[in-house]
Amino acid sequence: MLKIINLHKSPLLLRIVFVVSLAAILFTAAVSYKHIINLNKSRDLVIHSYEVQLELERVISYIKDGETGYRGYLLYGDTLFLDSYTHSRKKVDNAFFRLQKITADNQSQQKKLKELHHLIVLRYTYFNKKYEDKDLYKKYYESNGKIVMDQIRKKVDEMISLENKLLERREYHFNDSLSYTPLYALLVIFITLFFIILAYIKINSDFKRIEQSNSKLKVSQESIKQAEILGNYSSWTWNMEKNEIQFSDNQFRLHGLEPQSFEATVADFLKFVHPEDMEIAANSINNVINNESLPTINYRIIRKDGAVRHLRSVGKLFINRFDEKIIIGTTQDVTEDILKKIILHEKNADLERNNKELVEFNYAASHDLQEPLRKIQTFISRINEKEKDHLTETGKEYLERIVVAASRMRVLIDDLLQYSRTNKTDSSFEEVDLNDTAYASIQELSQLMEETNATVHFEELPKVKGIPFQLRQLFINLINNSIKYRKLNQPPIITVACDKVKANEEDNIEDNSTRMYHKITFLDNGIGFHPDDSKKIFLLFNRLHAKDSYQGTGVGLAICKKIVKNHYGFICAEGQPDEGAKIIIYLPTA
Amino acid sequence: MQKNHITIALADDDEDDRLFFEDAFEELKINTVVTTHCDGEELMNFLHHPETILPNILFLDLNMPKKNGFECLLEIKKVEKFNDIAIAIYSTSSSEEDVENTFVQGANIYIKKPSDFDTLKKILREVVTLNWQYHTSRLNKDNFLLRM
Repeated sequence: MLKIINLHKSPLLLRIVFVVSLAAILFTAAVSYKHIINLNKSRDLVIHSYEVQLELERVISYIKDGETGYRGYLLYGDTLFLDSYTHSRKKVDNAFFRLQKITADNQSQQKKLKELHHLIVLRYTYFNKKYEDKDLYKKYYESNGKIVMDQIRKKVDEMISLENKLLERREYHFNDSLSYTPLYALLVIFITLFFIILAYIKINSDFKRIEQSNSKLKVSQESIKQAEILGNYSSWTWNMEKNEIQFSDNQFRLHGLEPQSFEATVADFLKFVHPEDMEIAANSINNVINNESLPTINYRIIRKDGAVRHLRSVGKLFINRFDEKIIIGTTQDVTEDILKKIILHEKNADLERNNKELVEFNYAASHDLQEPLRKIQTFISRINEKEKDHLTETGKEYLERIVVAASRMRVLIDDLLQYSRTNKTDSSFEEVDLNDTAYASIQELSQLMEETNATVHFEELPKVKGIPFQLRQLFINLINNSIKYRKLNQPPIITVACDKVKANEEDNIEDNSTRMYHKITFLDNGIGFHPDDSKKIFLLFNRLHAKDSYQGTGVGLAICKKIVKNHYGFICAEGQPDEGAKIIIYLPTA
Repeated sequence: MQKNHITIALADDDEDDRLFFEDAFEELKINTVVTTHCDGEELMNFLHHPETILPNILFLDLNMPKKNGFECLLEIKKVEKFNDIAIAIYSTSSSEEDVENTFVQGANIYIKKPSDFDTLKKILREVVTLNWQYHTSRLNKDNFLLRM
């Protein structure tokens, strides 16, 4: 929910600002309108005041007209004069009626008007009396008519002055209002202008932001396109509501087509699916439609040129802001990976088969070779026993040589058998105390050591994880080797030393980690060897010396190397001719 | 004299080995009657024959045509009347697998064919004069493989 608010925050703010500015403009417009209406009213009132004055002046004038007419009639007796009198009476009534109407809103004027009306009626009653006697009339006029007339004048003056006062006030109001009018107009213009500028700035900044986002989007789109080409993958979206599908350029390339070369549908791409994988593809599409998800699927396609490619697709449901369900998917060309995997698998199987054959061959060969050899040796012993006396000296010498050759072959076969049996799979690892191993190996070699006067010094040795009989074999072979290659003029002395080292601090260890190793050194005082041969001596059947001078098959150290390798260790040799040999073993600490 | 002799049977497909075997007993001058058979099937026929006097000691080669030594061992151990026959495995191989399997199936001793006639004679003398009561108890595996 919070997300939605954040998402719509900017448009919401914009709407609020719009409503507020609209209200402000409408308000100022309404105020101005009201002001103009008021102005109109004030002007009407001013006009009204002038009308009242005008009517009052007319009343006076009409009465005077009547008086003048009446006097003329009195003077000359001509009834023609009486016409203007009768007319004046009508005109006064009319004017008075209008006055009554236009001062209807003014109580004090109405009151005065009533008094005025009374005076006028009184004045005209004096006219009506037919005074034949002019002197009497004169007398009457001077005493009554003049007084009434003066009173009328006075009343009219009062009313005019009252109206003048009103007029003065109204004119003041009108002018006052009039002076504010431009201010209101300007206010409306400025407020409107202010909001227009505000809107312009906002639109401008929004536009810039959109432009920036657009360019960013373009850059990322371009980089996605490149990444898709390099990574051999493509992306697509499937709008479930509208059933609209969009494929990226690389989707077309993966299928060996020109990018966006036609308006593609799912069916267009399904045509390429390998017939054997059609079911997988169809099921996955059903899965998308029914379950709205696409778990990872692997399938093959056949391109137009006949090339078979392995593809992997995955999809995820996404709901957009219009609440439409959209599957966003990625398809990757995994042909290279799969081909590599297949090749690796085949090679592995080949290797395993070869290895197994080799072991079987080795074992069978050395085993089957034993049988005829044993018979040869038995027959030789028969000849030696029964027929030796019949042989010449040369024949006896030849027989001796046959005996030596046959026993040498036996040693070879035995060693070879041992070598082929030195496999890791034979036994599992257990904790081995190398001190026990050293003791057992000396026991085994006791007879040889006695014969050659050999001594072996062991330092305190560690415990390691290993195969007990193999480690015993390792020790036996190394000590045996030292005794075999002794100097003839001095008894062999072998020293076995032990140390703990870090892998990356020793050049002999092909391991750059900080793992700890036990370094066990076998040092002897024998004939040694040339430093150039330090690698050669571990090779199978490799001998440094002529057969007759030193016994040996060239298998012993090869077995040692195999055993050390079985224990994830390293073995190497150092030496100088006539200065003894040093064999170093590195075994991982437990 | 006849009653005290020891009857010995050998099943081995190798003619040379059968020759060495007979020669050795001849030279040992022990009162023995030796019969040899050239494969497992022939041996079993011989043993099952009603007129056969069962051997005291049977030397059994493992690698033989038709019926190998291991099959013969299994068959013999199933038949009650053969219970008294001491069985000595007599083979070129001394692989741990063979030694283990024949021990488990009830062979009494395991002999690796020597490559020297004198040693062969020594071994055969040892085997014939062995205290079989101790060996037939089959308690000690260490003694099973004969070392000379």
